[in-house]
Amino acid sequence: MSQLFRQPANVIVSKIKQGEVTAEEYISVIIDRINSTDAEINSFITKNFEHALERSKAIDKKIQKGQTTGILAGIPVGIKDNISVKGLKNTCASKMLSDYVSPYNATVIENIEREDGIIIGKLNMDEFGMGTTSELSAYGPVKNPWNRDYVAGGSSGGSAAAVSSLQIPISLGSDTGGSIRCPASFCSVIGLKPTYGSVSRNGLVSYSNSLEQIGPIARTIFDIVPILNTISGEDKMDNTTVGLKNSYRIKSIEEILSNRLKVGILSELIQSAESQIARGIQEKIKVLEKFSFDFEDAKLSIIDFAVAAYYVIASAEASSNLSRFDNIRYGYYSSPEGYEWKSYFSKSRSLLGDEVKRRILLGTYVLSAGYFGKYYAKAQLVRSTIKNEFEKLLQKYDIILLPTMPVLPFKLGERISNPVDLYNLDLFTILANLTGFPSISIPAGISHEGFPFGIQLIANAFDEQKLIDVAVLFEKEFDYKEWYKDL
Amino acid sequence: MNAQKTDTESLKIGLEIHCQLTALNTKLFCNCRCNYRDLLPNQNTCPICLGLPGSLPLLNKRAIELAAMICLAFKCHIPEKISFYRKNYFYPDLPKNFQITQYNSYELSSIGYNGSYDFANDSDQDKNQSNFVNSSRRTSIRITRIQLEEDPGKVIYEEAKSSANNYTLIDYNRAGVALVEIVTEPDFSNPSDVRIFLNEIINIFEYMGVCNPNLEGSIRCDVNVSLRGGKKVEIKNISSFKDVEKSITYEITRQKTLIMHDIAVQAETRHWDEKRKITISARSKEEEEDYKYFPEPDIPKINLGGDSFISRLKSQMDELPAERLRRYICSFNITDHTAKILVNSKKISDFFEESLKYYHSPVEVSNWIINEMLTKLNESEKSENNRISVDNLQDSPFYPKLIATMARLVEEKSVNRNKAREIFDICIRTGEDPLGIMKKIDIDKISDADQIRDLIKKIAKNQPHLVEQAKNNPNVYNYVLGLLMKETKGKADPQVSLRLIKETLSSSI
Amino acid sequence: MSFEEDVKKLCDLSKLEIPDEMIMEAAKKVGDVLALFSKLDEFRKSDYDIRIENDLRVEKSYSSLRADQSPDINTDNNGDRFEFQPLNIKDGFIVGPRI
Repeated sequence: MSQLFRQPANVIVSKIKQGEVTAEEYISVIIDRINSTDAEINSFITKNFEHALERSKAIDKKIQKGQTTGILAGIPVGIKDNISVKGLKNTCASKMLSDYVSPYNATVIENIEREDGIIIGKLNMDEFGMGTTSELSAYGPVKNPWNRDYVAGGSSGGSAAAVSSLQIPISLGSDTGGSIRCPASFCSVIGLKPTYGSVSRNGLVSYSNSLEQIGPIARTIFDIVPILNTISGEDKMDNTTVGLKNSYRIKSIEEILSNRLKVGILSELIQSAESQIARGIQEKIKVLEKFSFDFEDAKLSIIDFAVAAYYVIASAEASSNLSRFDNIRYGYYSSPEGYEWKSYFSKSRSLLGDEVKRRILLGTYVLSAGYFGKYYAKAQLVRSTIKNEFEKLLQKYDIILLPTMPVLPFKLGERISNPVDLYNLDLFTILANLTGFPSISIPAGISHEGFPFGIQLIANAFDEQKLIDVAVLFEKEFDYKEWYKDL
Repeated sequence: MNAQKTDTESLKIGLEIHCQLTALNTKLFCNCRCNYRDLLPNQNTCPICLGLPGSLPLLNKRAIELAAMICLAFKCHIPEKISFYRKNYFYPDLPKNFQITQYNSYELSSIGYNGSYDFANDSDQDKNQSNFVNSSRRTSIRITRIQLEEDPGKVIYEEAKSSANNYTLIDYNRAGVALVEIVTEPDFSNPSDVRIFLNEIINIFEYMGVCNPNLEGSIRCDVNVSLRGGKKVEIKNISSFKDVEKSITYEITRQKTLIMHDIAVQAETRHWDEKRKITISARSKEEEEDYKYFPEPDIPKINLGGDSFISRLKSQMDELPAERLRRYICSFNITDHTAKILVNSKKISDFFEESLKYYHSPVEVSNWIINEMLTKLNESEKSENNRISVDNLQDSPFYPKLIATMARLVEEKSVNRNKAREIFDICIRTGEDPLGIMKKIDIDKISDADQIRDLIKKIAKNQPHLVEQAKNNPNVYNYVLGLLMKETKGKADPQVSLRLIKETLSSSI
Repeated sequence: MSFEEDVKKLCDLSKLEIPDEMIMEAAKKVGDVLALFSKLDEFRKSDYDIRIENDLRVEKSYSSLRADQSPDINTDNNGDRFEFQPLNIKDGFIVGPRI
């Protein structure tokens, strides 16, 4: 019973629906697990336990009455603290929003609750999504469950660490430049960034709105599929979403293999990663080769400009998206009386973190009169070129394969000082954001020192099914669920 | 007046007109009410128009249609696709500290561009123009662009003097209301032309039903003025259209004074002070605010649908004032002047056409509307009661059938015009039907041709020498008329009677 | 104008405050990132054999947009009751700093 927290969500759902376990029992176990571990991990900013227990009881009643329940019945889902949940604080890990309670639900939250999923709490992150380590939080850094002196990755560090440390089976993060996949790689869980426009951003606090998507994190692909189906789809509240043709499913191994997927391997990028990562990925490829996939070396010519293009676009959009935080309509309690408005705006925004301020300044700079062509327009041109190149590759290959991160998790505080060094770590992940294509990070191994690293797969727009298919194969072959470090 | 005309070549005036699409039900990007005027502060808000974190704009389809119709009225090109841009600046009335608008410097994004508007300006109206359609003395104003954007909220000052304030109060009820901005080239060369143009625009908007100019704040106008090729001065914050002409006149004087003293006119933005009726410097153009425009990522490029979209809109659009004026002048035998007065108000010209359905005599009907009905309406508006006006015509005692009946009475039933006016007065006051009133004062019989003929014959029989005298002396007819008037106690219609007298007497010879 | 003064001006434009003692460090870091951004100057479209088809932006037909239906005040766009308590209110107005 007390080991229920180890189970994947799909197993729990069928136990609950069959009456083997009550949702209330399960949620109680989860709550205990979180309470006993979070002091060490710090993945939760807000806990929603009372509500969770109420919801679990309601779901149990439905089951007792023989009513139908959703595909996430009784499952606690952790939500990154930049996705709006009605009645809960939405801080984005920032002092700027320390007293802001969201009066509405993000569309993905409505979807989860409709499937009887339970919003268990809000998860820690880098402030406003700007970071690669989840150290830049007003609520303290998230610790990597594999070694609590090390970073969990970012910016959805809390989402990945909570799942990795067996606190919850499923969480939602957001991915602007790798913020789901990076912590997934560092914490040895699966993280998926869906195709741009396939998941509603209504309720997601914008950092860079032409690049980001909400996406799921779980320990097994069998849990990724139901949560992905729950949150995907066209939304009338978000005009950048498009309709999907089919829902995703777990295919049989036979069916997957019969499709003879062709994989393009970005060997140069693999070689440029830390040696243990490079070796680990090569080993995985060798194992997969036995499945008669078509593997081929592929090349990207435009890689040099990717990081610059990404950060120009991201900081430009961020500087505008964060302008609304002036503490007049919402934010934190402080009286504006007596202040002249310009100085009040500056004074109240001084609560923003250094990295956030820096990106706003950079964004303001690149958007200023006369510079639009040099920076923003140029970056979008580079972006188009990268997208074109990927489109060409994806006509040839079903999947592009590369590492998720070029490095293993590093110590807390180790890489805070040089922003450009950190930015360059995003090279592999920003490609999927710049192009809008879907990408998944799957656990690929553990280093000798015990640090996880992930393998990244990119597919064509709306081809998430192919990513899922390869993930199913991976899971069968490596069964990485057993790698979870016990806390 | 004349001083302005002598400088027409060197005076350049351009306009930026902001018009709320009051015909919409909801705001431009959310489902909140478009008409916010009778609501308590901040009761007409939602996550979107408050700019709450995570909210996304949802573009209003009908706003695009109405804006495109306005573009068609101004002969603008409408592109295949439109998109939106962010105009970034900080201000407490701006919920997101950026405004979603359209911008054409990097690409053609706005709903309309390169249009024009022709109108008859002041100098033409002085002349008696007989041939309207072929007039070559019309001024053409180029419309640079027409764009869709959102209105900000309102800042309210606790006291009149903002410097005495400790704080401001903000109401976001208006934030997000759809605005159409019309930008003209500086093609105006005198302030009275601007006034005429603005009046015509208001009229066009009423015809189109896109904007109700009587709602407070529904149309605002900024002006830019440059004299003798000098720097451009922008005047903002002009509260009413009446003040537009005043502000331009003031600004011309101010600039001329500077020039006279050899002081350079600075390029700047000035505010119109409503109370003192002057412009005050607000911000130097040299430190012009940088709005950091970039494409709005949350709104996709909108594919309008090219020609099929435009032809569908055109079929939906009602007749515009210029078209109606042309039609009136061509199909009815009324003067240009009369036609212009009728067309100047959609309500009045609609009323006119409704009346024609009951009795098709455009000249007489228009006469009754303009000389009788409108006069009374103007008097009523000026009086203390101010109960009836053109705007609430439906609540007034005037209705199309009434006017038609009056016209018919005068023309067919030969009622004396003064008598007709009396009847009209009674109708207005009592609401009674004119035919009913006529029966009461027994006029019917007296203008009936047969009755008058009988009376004439009676007179001729009594004084047969009159018939003989009438052959040679036309004054006899007037004498007989006098007798007839005595006989009928003045109730006979003189014109009809005279005609009948001539007929009857000459035929009885 | 030194780069630090440029950064101060940027702060003013962005309505941000960086304390004087931190300006130098902030300026250095901003400068480092701008050096990264300058890499874009080297990009030449002609170097790449790629046909750039269309805009990156999503495109939609105008008929798919939100219809202008009768409004419901006090509900949000999903039809749920919308209640929001701003930070500082007076008689229903939101209180802001003086202008």
